[in-house]
Amino acid sequence: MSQDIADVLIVGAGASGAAVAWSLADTKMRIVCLEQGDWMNPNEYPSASLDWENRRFGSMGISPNHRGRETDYPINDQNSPIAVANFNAVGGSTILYAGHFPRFHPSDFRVKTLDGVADDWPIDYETLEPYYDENDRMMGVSGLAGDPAYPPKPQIMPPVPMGRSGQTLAKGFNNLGWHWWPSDTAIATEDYEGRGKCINLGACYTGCAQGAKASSDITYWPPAIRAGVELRTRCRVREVTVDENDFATGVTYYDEEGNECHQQAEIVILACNGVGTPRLLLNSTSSRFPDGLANRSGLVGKNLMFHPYSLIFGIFPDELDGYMGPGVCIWSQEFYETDESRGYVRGFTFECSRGRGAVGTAMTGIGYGRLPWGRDHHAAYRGLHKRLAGMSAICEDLPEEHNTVTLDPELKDSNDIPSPRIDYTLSENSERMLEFATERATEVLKSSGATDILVQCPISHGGWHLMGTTRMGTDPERSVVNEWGRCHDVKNMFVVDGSIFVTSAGVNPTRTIQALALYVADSIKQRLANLFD
Amino acid sequence: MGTRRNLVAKETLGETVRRTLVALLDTMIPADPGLGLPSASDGAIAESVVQSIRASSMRTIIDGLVFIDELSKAMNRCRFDELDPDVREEFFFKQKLDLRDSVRVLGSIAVHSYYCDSRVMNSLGMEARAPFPEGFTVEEGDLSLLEPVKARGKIYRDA
Repeated sequence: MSQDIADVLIVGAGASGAAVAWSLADTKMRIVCLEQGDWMNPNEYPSASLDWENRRFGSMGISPNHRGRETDYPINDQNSPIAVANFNAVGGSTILYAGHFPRFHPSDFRVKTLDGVADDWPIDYETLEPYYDENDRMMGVSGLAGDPAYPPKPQIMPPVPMGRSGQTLAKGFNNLGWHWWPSDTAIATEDYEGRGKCINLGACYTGCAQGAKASSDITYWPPAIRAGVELRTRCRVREVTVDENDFATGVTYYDEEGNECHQQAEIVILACNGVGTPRLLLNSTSSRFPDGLANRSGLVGKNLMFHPYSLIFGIFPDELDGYMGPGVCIWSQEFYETDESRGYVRGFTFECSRGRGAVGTAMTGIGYGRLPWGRDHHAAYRGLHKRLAGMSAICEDLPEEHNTVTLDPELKDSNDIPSPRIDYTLSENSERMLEFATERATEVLKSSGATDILVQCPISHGGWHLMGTTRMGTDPERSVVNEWGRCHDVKNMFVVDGSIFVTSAGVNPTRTIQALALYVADSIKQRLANLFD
Repeated sequence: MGTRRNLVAKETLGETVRRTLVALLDTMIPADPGLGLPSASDGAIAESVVQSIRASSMRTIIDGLVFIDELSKAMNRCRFDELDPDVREEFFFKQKLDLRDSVRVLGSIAVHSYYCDSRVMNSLGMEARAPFPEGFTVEEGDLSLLEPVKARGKIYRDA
């Protein structure tokens, strides 16, 4: 058993754990981070192999239940139309994300006031704005200034190329008079802070061998470690321990050899994502917290939000980008803000994607019945190759208490720690929004020249964004953490991942997760003298 | 940490089943000499398919292969792999509904192996190489297309 005491102990080295570690490093406190995964070796990413697409469906797949890495834990998501997608490693799910990097909008923090649904956040866009800016510099964001869907924000690097696919779709949006703009991406389009610029590998979803995509293992972690943060990999945390005064005393974890260890700490910060964090809290029971740590509100694990996605692709007569270039190119927020005449509240973003690889094209063709077997196979394939482009509609999911992360009564990980179980249903509002989004996407694809439309709604394996399960708020009976991320019930424990989201917005969450982590870190630094009051 | 899950099939294909597999692959994705395309039954591709079958899929595939071979023997009085290619394709399409699980699993594996083959990639106009380190060139695009979007002005709500 280790007897040393960390000033700050962070659980999880993904998007938020990396950001909070880096920010706190300048305090010179002793900071230790425990991560159950490994460091990744970019030389081993699939894009360095001819069969790169195949590995997307294997060890670099998005499902922890299918990819078979020993650093994963299983998740029972059978009772959900959307399956969880994640990655366990230094860098977390940023290893596999597309690098789509939108901010929330001012209205996203005021949904109750503006639209009469869910709850307002206890903070607003202006509060987070300087942390968005700081995170943009650390991650290296590319985009084009002046997007009329947003308040002004700085441009650090030029946007990723629109390509043939982006231009084709942009013309479709213009034909309809709808908004579109080059996407903000966490992809370096110029050499940036020691990282090479994007060379259009087209394999962002399986890790970026070039290092152009900003995964937090190559952005935040190197300077954090240089500043003295200790990062231990292959350490799987079982529970957070507490004393009789409701203070966290540290965590119990298993090291790579399966030895049970305890790390003491003055401050504990959870950064395990919207499923991993409630799982850890619910596994941390004691006489003081029989229903799970920091759970006197009963809200730990409740209000789980995904982003329901609809995927709409068109088949075009001319060659587009296909497998070349980052998956992201342009977005549209024409339908982002509430318009109740549409039959739902809140809104969504269209994220346009430029195409598919050769294998992905074949799988799409087979899945949608557009690619027959037999003598007609090759002609049909040529009608699809480099001719697919489209978009996903990422819809705002509103919090509902019956959407939950609990502990599965039977399923356990390889260390015998109870695994999470997901119970989730799509709301009527989400279903109406998905239907509307699919219809509008079909319109714009046809206007862009598509001759055939392929739809998957919702995307069944699209649970990339895990939010809401330890929500933020000022009322301890209606929230788990306060307005600066500290648990109401445990005054030396913080949460910085997507769990603390009050609402989900209709955009990818990583940029906001990291801005929140920097904001929580700054709040800690400003209150060091009376942090536990 | 626990032991790595065994994802590779332990069960192996017997000689007869393997012959049926090769014939079925040839039926699903035949060669097209005019396009310079091999059949999915080509030695390297077929071997890749066999090596890619996961333990969880092996039984489904074997059951399908045995089924179509037995049916061929009963209905055509010869093994599936002995049928004339045109007859074999017609027979395959007639039985496809009963074979759907096997075809779905095998088809997925087949295209993963087939469309990574250098000859296939070359035929499609792709360079048969890994994306990294050379990368690709993508057109920048015409940002003047944004003029009507800019002209419309702000669309976000103040809060």
